[in-house]
This record gives sequence, structure tokens and C-alpha cells, in this order.
Amino acid sequence: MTLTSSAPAVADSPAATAVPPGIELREVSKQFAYRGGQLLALDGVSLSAARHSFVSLIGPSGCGKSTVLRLLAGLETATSGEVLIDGAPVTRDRRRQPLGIAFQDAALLPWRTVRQNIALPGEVIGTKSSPAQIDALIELVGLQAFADAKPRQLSGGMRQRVAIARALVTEPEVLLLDEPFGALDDLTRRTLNLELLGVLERKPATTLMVTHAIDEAILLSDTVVVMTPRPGRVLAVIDIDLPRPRGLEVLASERFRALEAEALRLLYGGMEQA
Amino acid sequence: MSREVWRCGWKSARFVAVALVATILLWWVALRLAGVPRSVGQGPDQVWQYLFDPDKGAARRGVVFGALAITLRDAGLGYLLGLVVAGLGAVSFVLIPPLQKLMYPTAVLLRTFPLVVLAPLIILLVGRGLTGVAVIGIIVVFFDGLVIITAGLRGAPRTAVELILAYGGSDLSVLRRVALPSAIPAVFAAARLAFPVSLTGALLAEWLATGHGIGAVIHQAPTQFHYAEMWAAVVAVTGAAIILSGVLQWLSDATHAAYEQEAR
Repeated sequence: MTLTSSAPAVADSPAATAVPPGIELREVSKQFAYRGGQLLALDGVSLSAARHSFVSLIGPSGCGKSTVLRLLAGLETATSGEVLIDGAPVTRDRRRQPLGIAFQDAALLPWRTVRQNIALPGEVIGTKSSPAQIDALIELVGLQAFADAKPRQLSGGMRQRVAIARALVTEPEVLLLDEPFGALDDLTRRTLNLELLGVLERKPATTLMVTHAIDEAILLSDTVVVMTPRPGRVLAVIDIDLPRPRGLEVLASERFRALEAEALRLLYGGMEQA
Repeated sequence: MSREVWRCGWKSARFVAVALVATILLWWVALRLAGVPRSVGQGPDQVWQYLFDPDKGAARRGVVFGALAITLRDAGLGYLLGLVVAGLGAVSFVLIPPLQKLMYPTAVLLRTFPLVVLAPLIILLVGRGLTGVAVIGIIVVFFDGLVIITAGLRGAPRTAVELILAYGGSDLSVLRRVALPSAIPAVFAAARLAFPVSLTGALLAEWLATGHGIGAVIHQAPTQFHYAEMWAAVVAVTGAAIILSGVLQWLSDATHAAYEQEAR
């Protein structure tokens, strides 16, 4: 299956045919050893995200959404099938395959300042980020006043902003977000949704986000992939044809509500089938 | 931050004061209840008289505190080496998990083996000198330290560990950037728990092997009817143990408080 990206505002993007998808899974299955038996988490999942497009994965808990991300991050290996980033098999060599990662838990190191936390990926990879680059990211997520604060001094939303900045520090081609706003209150979540839209307009990256929130998925995505309960399969792919740039007004549009209704219908339909 | 340090210091000072008073009271009550002759079961007043006798007091204090210095050196040796070995063991367990499967039973065996039986064997193998004291010290100290520090290293937040791994970091990178800093409170807990154990190990080694220090005095003095010397030695080592425990508790609490504040 091919997902068509609805023009994510990348002017310099070459013709779509010449560029391999930013993210591609081909017939990927993943089995886990579980209580002496085998647990099939993913069953022949195929999906692809055009370069610099935004794809969301939604589905019931335990459908293997996070497993897809973990495969892409190189934290798990597929039992069968191919997992490709920019046309190449996944690797943990981040100099060749720069990734940005953010989890639901901001996973900030409490003994490091905001600045030092953002610098972490560069240190690990061995490509030290310049102070100017880190300052620019701190400004991008609006934390100038907290550059030298420790995580304990920050609110949940601010911590997640730091996590987003940290994910962007390696100037990644691919961004993996595992329910990055899942632990936040609605208002903060919406604010960060809009901020992420702005950030990606300035720093485009192929983004795969796992989320429970349908509205968030539709607001941010070019494509929403609906998964079935375990074993995870792709149930449907919804093309989000809302115009960009998007803002809060999108949420009130007819089209948005129609898409939301369709996603809900598919999601609940999928759960009843199971 | 520094206020927290003083608050912990005050708490430890109170602990030391209470422990000292309670020990003296218990000592006095126990002697009364046991009904031993006062020449054998000497009380606080007699030890005081013994140590601060106008004529012989200085010489006696020289003997007792000289022995205490040796014992503290012996205990310190086992303490430091034991903790270092425990730390290295914990790090190697975390970096090479099969090693843990292999070595852990050995460590448990060493732990369950009665020290009184083990100590003479060790002395037979490595001699009566400082090496014997060090080996016995390591054996008594390292096991608890190993367990606590290993748990501390493994207790590093999973998402932070995975973040490093996802960025292509090695196990060594995880250890350095996440696991070791997370294990600092565990290291302090181990350091605190190891102290009384290291003292016991040192006393035992002195009694069974070296013939120096408080362990030897307590063992030898009664055989020559020097009960006062024995009691003075017991007082010296007990007092030192209580005071040093207090200092360690202070260090440990202060670090913990600082860390908790960071982690919140």
C-alpha cells in the first residue's frame, strides 16, 4: 500500500517518485517470547510515510503501535519483514541514520539542566551539538528562561518541550514520537500540538507518532493509520486532506469532524471484529 | 541545599548522643542484672577510673587508643577494598549479565559460609599480615554492597536507558550517562551498611590472625585478668563505631536529600 502525502509544505522536496519513503514497513511481523509461548504483536504490517510527511498510528492499547516505533528506533528487531528508513534498513548508527525520539515519559536526566539534556543525543552519537544550536532549539520550544533549570523545576508540558527539543537536536530526517503528549492535560496538549506543527514547518522531518487521541492525530497528520487489536495489523489508512498550515480553526471545520467520525467508526469497528 | 545538610547533621548528632547514652545505660543495667562480680563485669565508672588514673592513665590510654587506631585501620582497609570490589562487581554484572549468573552463587556461598570457619582458612592461604585482614574485610563487606549497588545500577529509569540505546549508545554509554548517576544513593546506602560489618570483620581477623588491635586486646586481656583493659577496649571501639556511624549517616542522608531534590 502506498500512502499519499498531502503536500507537507516542503518547497525543496524533489519529485516524489525519486525519493524513497522516509519510513517504510514491508510485511513486518514481530513475535515476543511470553510465558514460555510466543506472542504475536505485529502481523504483516505494511505502511509507508512519504519523506517529510506526518503519519499517526492509532489503535487500541496493546495493538503493537509502540512496537512499530521500537522497531524503527532499533530497540527491537522484526521477526520477519523489512523495516526501512529513507530506503535503508534500520540501524542504530545515528551518524548514518539520524533519528529524533521522544517518549510519553520525557525521560529527562534529573541531574542535567535543560541545556545539558538537549545536548545528550549529540554526546551519545559523538557529534557534539554547538551551544548556538542548542540555544536555537531552546528558543524554538520557548524555554529561554529555563535553559539552565533542572527538570524538577519544570512543569509537565515544559519537560515535554525539552524532550521535543532533544529529539530535534540531531537535525533528524525522521522523528519518532511515542504518545509524546499522553501524560499532559488537554490544554497543554493542544498548545504543544500547535507548537509541534510550527516546529515541523520550520524543521521538516518524516514523523511517525503513536497516539491514543484521534483529534490530535488528525490535527497533526497527513495520514492516520488505524491498527487492529493484537495481533496488530493495519486496518485502514485515512488520508488527512486538511489544508496546511493548520491552526486551531481546523478543529472546528466540517472536514475535521467528518474525518474524526470516520476514524472513530474504523477504530470501534476494528475492536468489535476482534 | 546547605540548610538540608545541617538538618541532616543535627539528626545524626542526635542519633549519636542517644546511642551513646543508651549504650551506657544498657551496659550498666545488664551488669546489675547479670550479677557478675564488679572485678570482672566492670561498669562505666571503673573504666573511667582505669583510663584516667593520675599515674597510669596516660600509658593505658596509649595502649587502648593505639589498639583502636589499628582496628580502625584494619576496618577501613576492608571497608574501602570491599566497597571497591562490590562496585566493580556490580558494574561487571550489569555490563555482562551472564557473569552475574555465574558469580552470584559463589558470592552467596561465601556469604553463607560461617566467617569463623572461613577466616582461619584465609589466614592459612594468605598469611597473618595485612593481606589476611584485607581479604577477610573484603569478604564480609562486599556481598551486601554488591547486591545493593547492582540493584541501584539496574534501577536506572528504563526510558532514559532506552533513549541512550536508541541513539546508538553502547552499554558503557548507558552506564556512564544514566546507570552510575542513578546508583549514587545506592552506593551511599551500601557505604553506610558496610561500616559495622567491616568493623566486625576487622575484630575477627585481629582475634584470629594478626594479634594486634582491639580484637586481640579483647581476646587476650581477660586471659591475664586485665578485665579493666578489656572493658576499656570495648568502650573505645563501641564509641568509635557509634560516632563514625553517625558521620556516615550524615553523609548518606545529605547526599540522599540532595539527590531526591534533584530527582523530583
